[in-house]
Amino acid sequence: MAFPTFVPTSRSFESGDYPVKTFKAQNGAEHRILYGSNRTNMKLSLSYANITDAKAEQFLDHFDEVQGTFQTFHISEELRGGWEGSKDALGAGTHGNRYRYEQAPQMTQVRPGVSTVTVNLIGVI
Amino acid sequence: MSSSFYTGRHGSLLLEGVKVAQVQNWTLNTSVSLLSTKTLGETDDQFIVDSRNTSGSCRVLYYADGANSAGRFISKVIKARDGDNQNAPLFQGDDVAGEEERSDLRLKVDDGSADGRYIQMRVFITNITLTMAVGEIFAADISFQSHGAPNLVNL
Repeated sequence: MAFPTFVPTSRSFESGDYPVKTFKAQNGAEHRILYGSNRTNMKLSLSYANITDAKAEQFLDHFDEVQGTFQTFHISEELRGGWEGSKDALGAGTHGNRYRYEQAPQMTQVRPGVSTVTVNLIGVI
Repeated sequence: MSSSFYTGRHGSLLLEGVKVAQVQNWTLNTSVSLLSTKTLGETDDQFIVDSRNTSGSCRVLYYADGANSAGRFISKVIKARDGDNQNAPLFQGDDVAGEEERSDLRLKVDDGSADGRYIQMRVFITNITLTMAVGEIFAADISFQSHGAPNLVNL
């Protein structure tokens, strides 16, 4: 089962960073060492407001399928609906990353049969 | 074909099944709240129904009578303390022993038939404002909130 393909109602994205380690001398001079060529640790937060419980359940099922925060997976183009920039800008694959759950999906029951789900993903190499 | 219109002359209000005399007006407001289902990339709002709320108000003139109707409304909310206890019961229903919390309220339009047209609901009286002023009749402005959907609707 793939990650659900609904268009979210809100989305936030942190681009992550390259693996850089910074050393600071006592005189204030800074030295940085680049440990890799791929940006990583990008965070994608998706919120699905007022969706049916059946749709909400798909996130819970998928979370089980990938064994929670253990396995990684690809996300589909639909998740980037409304974004008019380059599709790979919000993705993880360009930099050799795949997404995994940063934490379990958070579900809030709004009324009978309707829920709001928030999913937090993190890109890892 | 003739049309029937109704005016304030045709309106009445029944509290616990008993007609309230000297009602000057009543209003009923039913609103439906919506949940947005608009997603990213869509231009126009889309909704599903969330819930419905029914509330209203009325104005009852106070007059001196043993079966004072305004007094019946008032006594459901404004109560004397119980002995040394600083508290007074909050129950508004007629069944005091059963600690009935809500009252029956029927808003009626007399159309000439036996029962008329009406909306009947279980209500909480949420506000009573007593107004005494020079040149005006002592009156009670009363607000009520329906508990759930109306019991009976015949409009």
